[in-house]
Amino acid sequence: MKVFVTGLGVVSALGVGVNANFKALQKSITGIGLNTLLKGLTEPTYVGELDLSNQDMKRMLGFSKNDGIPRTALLGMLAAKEALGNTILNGERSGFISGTTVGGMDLTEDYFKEAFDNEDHKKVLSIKTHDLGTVTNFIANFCGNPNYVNTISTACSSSANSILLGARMIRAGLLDKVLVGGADALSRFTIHGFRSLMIYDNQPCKPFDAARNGLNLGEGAGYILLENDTSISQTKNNIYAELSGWNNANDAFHQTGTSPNGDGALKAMKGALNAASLNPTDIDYINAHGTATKNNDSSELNALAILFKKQQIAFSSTKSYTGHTLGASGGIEAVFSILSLKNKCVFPILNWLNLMEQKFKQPVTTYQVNVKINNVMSNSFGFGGNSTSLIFSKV
Amino acid sequence: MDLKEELKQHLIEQLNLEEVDAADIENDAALFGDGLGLDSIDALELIVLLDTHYNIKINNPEQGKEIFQSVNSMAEFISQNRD
Amino acid sequence: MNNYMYSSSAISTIGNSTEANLLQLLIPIEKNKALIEPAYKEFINPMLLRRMGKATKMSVVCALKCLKKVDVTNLNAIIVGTGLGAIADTEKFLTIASQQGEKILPPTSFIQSGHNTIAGQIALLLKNDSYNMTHVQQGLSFEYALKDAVLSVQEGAQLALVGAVDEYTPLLQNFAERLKLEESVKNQLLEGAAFFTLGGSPKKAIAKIKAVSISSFKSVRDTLIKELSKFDLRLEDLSLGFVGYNLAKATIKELPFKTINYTNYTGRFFSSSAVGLHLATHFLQHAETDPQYLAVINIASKNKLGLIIVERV
Repeated sequence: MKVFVTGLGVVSALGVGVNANFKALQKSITGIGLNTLLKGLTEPTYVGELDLSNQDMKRMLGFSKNDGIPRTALLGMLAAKEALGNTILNGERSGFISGTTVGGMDLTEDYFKEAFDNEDHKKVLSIKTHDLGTVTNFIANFCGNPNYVNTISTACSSSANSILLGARMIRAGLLDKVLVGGADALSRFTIHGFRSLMIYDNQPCKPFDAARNGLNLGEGAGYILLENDTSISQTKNNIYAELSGWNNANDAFHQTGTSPNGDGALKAMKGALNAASLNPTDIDYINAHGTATKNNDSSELNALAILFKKQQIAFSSTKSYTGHTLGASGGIEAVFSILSLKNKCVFPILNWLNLMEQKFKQPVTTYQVNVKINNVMSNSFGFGGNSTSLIFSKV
Repeated sequence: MDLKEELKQHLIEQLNLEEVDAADIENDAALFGDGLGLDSIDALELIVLLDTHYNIKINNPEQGKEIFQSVNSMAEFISQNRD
Repeated sequence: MNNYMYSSSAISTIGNSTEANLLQLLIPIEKNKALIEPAYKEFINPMLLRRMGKATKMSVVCALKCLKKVDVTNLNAIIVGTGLGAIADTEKFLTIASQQGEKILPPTSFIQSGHNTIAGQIALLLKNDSYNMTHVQQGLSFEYALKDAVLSVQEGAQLALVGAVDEYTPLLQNFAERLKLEESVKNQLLEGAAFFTLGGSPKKAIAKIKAVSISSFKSVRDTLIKELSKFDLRLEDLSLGFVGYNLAKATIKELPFKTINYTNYTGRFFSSSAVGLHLATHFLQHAETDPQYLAVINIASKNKLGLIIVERV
């Protein structure tokens, strides 16, 4: 049973909506800059921040300014609304699967900060929205009344895995339509966390560059609507692409580092190709994970070199536009991959100057149109060795 | 207390080495790889240790490779760089 | 396709008793909150153990015990459910980060705080490169993980390891007080873990998973009737029901089978239904009356319940 993509929704540092994001990608305009809305950092930090406050987003979504809604949920609702369009997400065979790592942490960490300086018992309500499931429920209830509502949290591959799970549910005949992807807001917790690992660049990140020095975090949400033929005959939605292949594998090398040859990445990519009945030569463009950390980019490039050998494969990382959006990255990058497919274009990497040590072919550095693109691969690799590869194909 | 003995206590505490006694750690034994078996996360914790207890800040994790070879090399670095 | 269970292991207030009369040995949670824990050092190398929070330690030991009974080389899927993840490490890093200002922060509790650290550590220990997933959906995390495991087996996985875990911390208890949660919830908060191995072959199976479902409910009885009918079962086919309450309670009207409120003995935590399944499976193996079908009914919230039907083999 084929799985089709019939809706796209995205929010990131590039703006709200597919059009705003696409325009920025076409024009090589980055969304990364010094933090403005996120407060309380000890030094100015390069982040991919959406320039809308929580109050702004609540207003846009029709909530009261006093409603205690975590930023991750707000980002998620904006993107989910766009992806659904006129489709109503209800019925026993409908679902919503969201990937996230941050959940309600923005409200929780504000509470922790105040709890240590000044305990205020009324504010304790803000920790009720901490857990990931609650944030997913917010978005699900906003979208309608889907039957299957679930959250996947596997670090940076969270929303890619949500997409994978949704596809499996459709293929197994358990669901007919499912909104999948994920959301993550910026938080001091994650910024401090990546700084403590000493993989946060004090400058705008440089994925796949020899002089790369770490990642910049970003925030956002990306959702795609998956449907089978039965559902499409009712919704009459247009088809953007087919989700033709998917795979999840584990690197099993280290808690946070990847194996030198990206074993998990390689297994996931091969698995996705297998699932799609495609060969490496059938892939026209790869939206790589490319976080700009020394370790990830090196392992990932080695894995690409092993799989694609001498093939002239176009690849880039869009994290130089959005920052690393953690749990949302798989969803946001799925949308970008489909834009590439639909518009026959490839997006350039930003801030790239020098080939890495491996001397594998260089990433795409200028925006290209009229490119023959039949199949796009989108990769997401997270802590805990979690490696996921998705393939979107032209219909 | 002797700097090296103090350092071993800090090591055990910072790295959560509950099963290890200070007496078990030889001054010149390799801390990483085959010696004590520490890894890259421990290297980051040792950077925190240098900051917390000796006010020495290391900004590049790559510097750690030489400094953290053994208790001896750590003690020498601390003596030369502490406030 | 059939889903067979080959082994099960739990860490809770109830030990892995081989007593046939396990149910008579249950002590109400208000009188006993002590977990029966293994000597973790005997299972995990100290250099690895020092990097594991409570949830990870409990899960790894349960996983290792489960896998002793099967051929681990066949393991194709590692799936974990958790409602709050590694909450103790989250609290620790939050506290460090809020207090430390400009200092360089220690990374260990941040690394350990990720929700998928549990499944990741299990894979790392076993050097297992297969499908690895973490479901985080409050009181239904285990049911979603179990549904995923069942799907994996259907897709061809020879062996799936699935389980769930949640931690208890004094801060959680503190929040429960401040949020003025119901007395029964506040008094029963605890922690625990349970893991199982599943596959499609009936060889050496200890039980069968007949059904896993998650549904909205107004009346528990009506929802049970509806869900059971999807599996060609009726209420009368069930011998015993293990009922657990999470954040909510529900009045369950007139069921034609006896029920045991397992959260009264295991305590309440988001993953408690995993321990409920472990109890039910144990009972199935040892009961003299040879029950055919047992139900684990998880009242996850005031309008959602999880249902697992386990069958004798």
